[in-house]
Order: sequence, then C-alpha cells, then structure tokens
Amino acid sequence: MPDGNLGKIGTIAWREFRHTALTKSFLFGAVILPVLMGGCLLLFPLLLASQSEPLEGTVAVVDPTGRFADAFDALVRERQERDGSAEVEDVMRKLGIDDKTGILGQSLANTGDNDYGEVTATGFLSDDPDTIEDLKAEARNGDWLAVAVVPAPQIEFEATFDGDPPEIELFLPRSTSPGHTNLLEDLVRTATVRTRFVAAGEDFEQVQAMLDRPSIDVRRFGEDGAADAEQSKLRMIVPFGFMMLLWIATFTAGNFLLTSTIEEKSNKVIEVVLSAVGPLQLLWGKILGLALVSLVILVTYGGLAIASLTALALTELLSWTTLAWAIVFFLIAYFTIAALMAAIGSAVNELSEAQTFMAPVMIVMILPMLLWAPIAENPDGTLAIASSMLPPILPFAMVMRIGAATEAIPIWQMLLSTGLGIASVAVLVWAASRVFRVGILMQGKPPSPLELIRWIRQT
Amino acid sequence: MSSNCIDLSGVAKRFGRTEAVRGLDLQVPSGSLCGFLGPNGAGKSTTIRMIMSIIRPDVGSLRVLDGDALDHKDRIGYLPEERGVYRKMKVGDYLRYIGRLKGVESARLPKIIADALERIDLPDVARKRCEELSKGMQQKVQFLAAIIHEPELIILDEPFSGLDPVNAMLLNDLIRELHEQGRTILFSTHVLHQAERMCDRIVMIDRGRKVLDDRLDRIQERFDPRTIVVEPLGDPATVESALRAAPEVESVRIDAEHRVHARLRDLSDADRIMSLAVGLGPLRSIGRAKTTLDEVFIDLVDQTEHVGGAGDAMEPLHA
Repeated sequence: MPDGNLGKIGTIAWREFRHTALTKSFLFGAVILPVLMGGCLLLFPLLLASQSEPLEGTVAVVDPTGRFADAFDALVRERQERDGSAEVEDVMRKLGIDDKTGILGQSLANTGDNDYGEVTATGFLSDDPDTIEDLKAEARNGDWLAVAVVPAPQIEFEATFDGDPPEIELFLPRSTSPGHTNLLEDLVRTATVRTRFVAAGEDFEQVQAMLDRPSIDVRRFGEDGAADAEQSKLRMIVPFGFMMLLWIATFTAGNFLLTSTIEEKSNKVIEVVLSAVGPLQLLWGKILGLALVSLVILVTYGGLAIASLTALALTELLSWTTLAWAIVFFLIAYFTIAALMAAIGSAVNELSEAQTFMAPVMIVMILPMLLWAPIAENPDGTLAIASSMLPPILPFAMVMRIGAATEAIPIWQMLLSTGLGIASVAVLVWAASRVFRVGILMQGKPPSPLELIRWIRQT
Repeated sequence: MSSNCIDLSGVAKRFGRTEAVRGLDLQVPSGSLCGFLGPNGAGKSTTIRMIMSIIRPDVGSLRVLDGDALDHKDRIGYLPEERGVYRKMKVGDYLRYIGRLKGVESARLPKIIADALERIDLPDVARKRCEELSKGMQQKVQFLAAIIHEPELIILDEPFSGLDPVNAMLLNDLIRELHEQGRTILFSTHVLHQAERMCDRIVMIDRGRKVLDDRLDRIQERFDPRTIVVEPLGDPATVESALRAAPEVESVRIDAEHRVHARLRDLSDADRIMSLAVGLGPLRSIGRAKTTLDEVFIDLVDQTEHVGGAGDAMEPLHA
C-alpha cells in the first residue's frame, strides 16, 4: 500500500480515536469513573469506620435468674478486646485470599474497632409488669441504653416448659441507630446462649473453642515440586476477570465502531469522505482508531486489576507470559468484534435496524459467560479445549483457560488457537470489507441476511 | 494528457430492475465549465458517482484525468448531492481532516482554511461546531471541503440546492473564479437557468440516456425559434395581418399580453421583417425571441416520450 494511503488510514484512525476517547464523556465514563470506583472500594472500609459511633451506656436487664448481667458484661469485655482481625482472616481464608501484605485484612479489621465503648448491664430480678414499665419509662428518658426482658425459661433449659419459651423482649429508645440495634440484638442473643451454658454448669469458652471449625491450609504442588499456597476461589475468579476485561474492552470499542459508522451514514458525511479515500481505507482507519480506544479501556481496567492483585500480593497469579498471551487474544477478539460491527454498521441506516443483525454478535457475547464455570473448573477439559479452538469465541475461551490453568497450557494448543484466531479474523475482515464496500453507500431498506451473503460473494 | 478531463463511453448502470444509466457517452473537455442537467431521477448522481469511482459501471469504459478516479482522488474535488458534516466536529477541525485526507500538507492547512473561510464570509466559525451552523453555512463549508486541496477537476452535484439567493450568488462567483483559474468544472443541477447563466457546455440526460450534449451558444443557435416578437402600442391585429402577408413569415400569433409572434421561414430574413414591423407604427418593443434551456429540455423530453419512452429514446443531439 502506498505511503499516502497509509497516511490517510492514520488520519482516519486518529480522528476516530480523538473523537471517541479524547472526549469528556469517555474520559469520565471509561477512565475516571472506574478509577474512582476502585479508589472508593479501597477507601470505603476506612470511611465507614470513621463514621460509626461506638455503642455506649447501660442496658437494664430484667432477669429473674440473676445470671444474665454478668454474662453480658463478660461478652462486652471480650468484644472490646478483640480487634476483628480474626473474623476478617477467617472470611479471607474462606474466599481463598492469601493477604500476605495484610493491607486488606488490616483495613477491613479496622472497621470493627470502634463498635463497642463502655457498655454494661444492670440486672433486675423482679419481672413484674410495674418494674418493666418503670424501666421502659426511664429508657424513654434516655436513662438506659435499652431494656431487655429475658424470661427465665430462655436461660434455665432444665425447666420444663410447654411449647416454645416466651420470647426475649428488647426495648430501645427511638433514637437508636440501626447499627446499634443490630449490636444490641446480637449482644443479648449471644449473652443468653452464654448464660445457658453457665446455668448448665459448662465452661462456655471451652465449648465455643470445641465448636469452632478448624481452617485448612491447602497447598498445591507446583511444577518444581514445592507446595504453594492454594487460592481455590481466586482460581475461579481470575479467569472470569480475564474474560470480562476482554469482553468490556472489545465490546465497548465495537459498539463505538457500530455507532460511528451508522452516524457517518445517517448524516451523509460518508460520501464526502469516500471522495478522498477508498472504502477499505476508511474501514481500516476506523478499525485501527477504535483498536486504540479498546486498548485504553483494557489498560485502564487491566491496570486496576493488576494494582488490586499487587495490593493483595497475588501477582504470582499473573506472569509476563500470561499477559503477553492475553494481549494476543485481545487483538484476535477485538478484530473479530470490530469486523462484525463495521459490517453491521455499514449495512443499516439506524441503530434500531442493527438489532436484526446482532444475533451473531450476541452469540459471541453470551457464550463466554456460559462457558466460564466449566472452563474455570476444568481448564484442560474437552469443552475448554474445544471452545478455545472454535472461532469466533476462541479468544474469550482461551483467556479463561490461561487464567484458570494450574499447569501451563501446551504450547501447541496456544499456537493452534492463535493460528485459527488469525485465520478467522482474516476471513471476517475480508467479508466485512465486502459488506462495507457495498453497504456504506446504500440507503433505504436494510438488506436481508441473504442479500448480505450476496454482497460478500459479489466480485 | 488528453484534451478531455472526463471520458465516458457506453457506460451503463442498473440497480435491480431499474436502469439508472444507459449507454452514456460523455466527454468533458479540460478547462470547461460543463452543466450536467436533467430532471430528478434522470441518473445524474449515479453518473457522477461512477465518475468518482464510488460505484462501478456495469458496462462501458470510464476515464477520469486519463485514469481511474481512485488513483486521482487528490486531484478531484467532489461535492456530493447527499452531503453532510461531522456534527460534533469543529469547522476548522473538519476542514483540516478533509484537507489531510485530500493530501494537503498539515503546515499549509491553517492558512488555507483561514483564507477560504474569509472568502465565503464565514471568518469566525473555525472554532464552532458544525452543528452550530445554519444549513446554508454548512453548505458553504461543505463546498470549501470539496475544493480545499485546489483540485484541477471539480465535480459538484446540485451545488445550489437549499441556498438562499445571496449565498447562491456567492457560490456562483466562486465557481466562476475557479473556472477562470483554469479548473475543469462539471456540475449537475435540475435548475436549468443556473446552468444557462454559468456554463459554456451543456449535457442533458433523461431517464439515464443522454439527450443533448453541446456548447451553450450552439444549442441556443440550434434551438433558435426563428421568431420576431413585436409589442405594438396600437392595435396588435393590424401588425398581425401585415406580418402574415409577408412571404418570409411562416406563421403569426398574438399572445395573452398582446404581443405578436412572427415565426420566420429563414433566420436570415429577420432584419427585413423587423424593419417592416417598425414601419407599421409606434412600438413598445421589438426583438428576436430567445430559447431557454427549460424550453429546449421540455421539447427534448416531449420528443423522447413521443418516440416511445425511454427505452427507445431519440439519438442524442451531439456537437
């Protein structure tokens, strides 16, 4: 191709990029907003912690057994001494996150630090209605943090009772926040269980320790025979993340390509442009310009993902080889979607007419979602291998395999998938250029799928 | 280079069952200002699109600037009938973009654009978005986009449509200036008097077939009605009977405005008949009737229809 023609393709590509990506709406929607959201996700626990007021005051407990108040105070002391890190660690372990740096765990644990201030319980043995009404009146005046009426059968289990024991009643001042309500409810329920054990003559701490389900440190043998920590849940999430990155980057840019082609047709500027360049130059200029847009989206979201993995010290899940292959399959995915979108955009006059031809694109969009679970579960299974060789979904399937693989995917499979992907892209771009050449100047009724095939076969 | 900028021979184009252009021969000499005329749907835009290689003819040969228009896009300026602008783009950016696509060096473009906008009385619009301009202003910007690369061949498809008289006159002047600079211009219109005012050559097509192709002066000569129009101050019947008696006069009629039209057997007798009419009494005016392109066109189209429809159209009248 002569230099002049390449220069014109470059001019078209730059215009497409500039008028799509260097706009306030794109920068805000596709770059600034995700960065802000990512920042908020990290800052949110800290902001939440700074906002919460600690629970403080005295709870009046109507308890004929006289045992509840001590158990309540012991429970509060225990909670005050705990900084929440144990629960956070437990949750993270269940999620399969190995928080080596401790950044995430610490920030999450900090959110629980300020829940409990000076909270005590004062017991009242008499459960006659007058006493309860007096206590309720005092609580209304703000003298009590709450009034809890704990019937004796809730604590003394040996006492025979016909049917369910009467419910515990908890009376709160109108101003009590939902968060404090939950804390008080939890304290009263847990203290009741604790009191039952004490009443039964058992050591509650011992029983609790016995009931605590142990955690398991799962390690999987690596290639070098060493046992590495297992992040089983992440092994499901990472391929999904890979696929979604590709999905968002390619379909967002593909959608821009569709709308910009339709816009050029509908506002009649297309013939002016075609007086200066050939339809194929226009097609390539548009595809390459929006490839840059797609790359910006990929780098933004991918960068955020890598930053998150770095913060969690999970970069071992990624390698330069993985990223290089991801880029190869990103290019295959983008050109597949771009060819389809450009052909559709050139064949129709309005966005609503494009819906007729969106079926093949929808298949490419939806199938990877359906394949996520089976591929993540068994990245070397028949379904995974077959779908990673099947155009046009192969780039999405292959990045999921790359993300999920515990063993390196055989190189011949990677190369075969790449070859098939490049071949399918070549065919799709060729067909799209045929459709584009005819459709871009066509006005009026959009063509039927059969007519599209005829356009492709026309010499 | 041959003396013709555009050379079409036996070009035809069919869309489904519709024959848009049939066996069209067309030569546009270098340096000419050629009007490409015809009613709506005659095949003008299809022909122009084929000249621009935007669509390909089914049959026939087509040479533009001694080659294919695709190879000479940077030497051709084209204003399509279906024209638009990038609505969100600034006028300056739009002209710069089209200029770059037409192969103009970036460094030269700011001055070219500023001068051109000044010339079309829109000096302050470079920073405005195209959508902020009126339709007429957009049309002038589109015209600039067509000529921004100073092409040697300019093809304008209905350049005056939608323009008010003031802007139509401005565009008229610009086209004349370009013609005086030696550029070849082909413009299509269905408003015939515009072509009559500007062109030195006329090509008419109807239903895809050429019906007229000649220099304007020769068309006027060929279609001269050989008629003397006399407007007497006195009784037109007296003048009518006197002229009817003259042997050089073929026929006489009086129109609704009491003017007497005397059709001559031979145009060389015109001076003698005019002298005779002047001697018949005081006159408000006397002169030779002129043929307009509208009359020529209506006459030709009528003939085409009487001969048996477009499929059997008459042979084109050719120089």
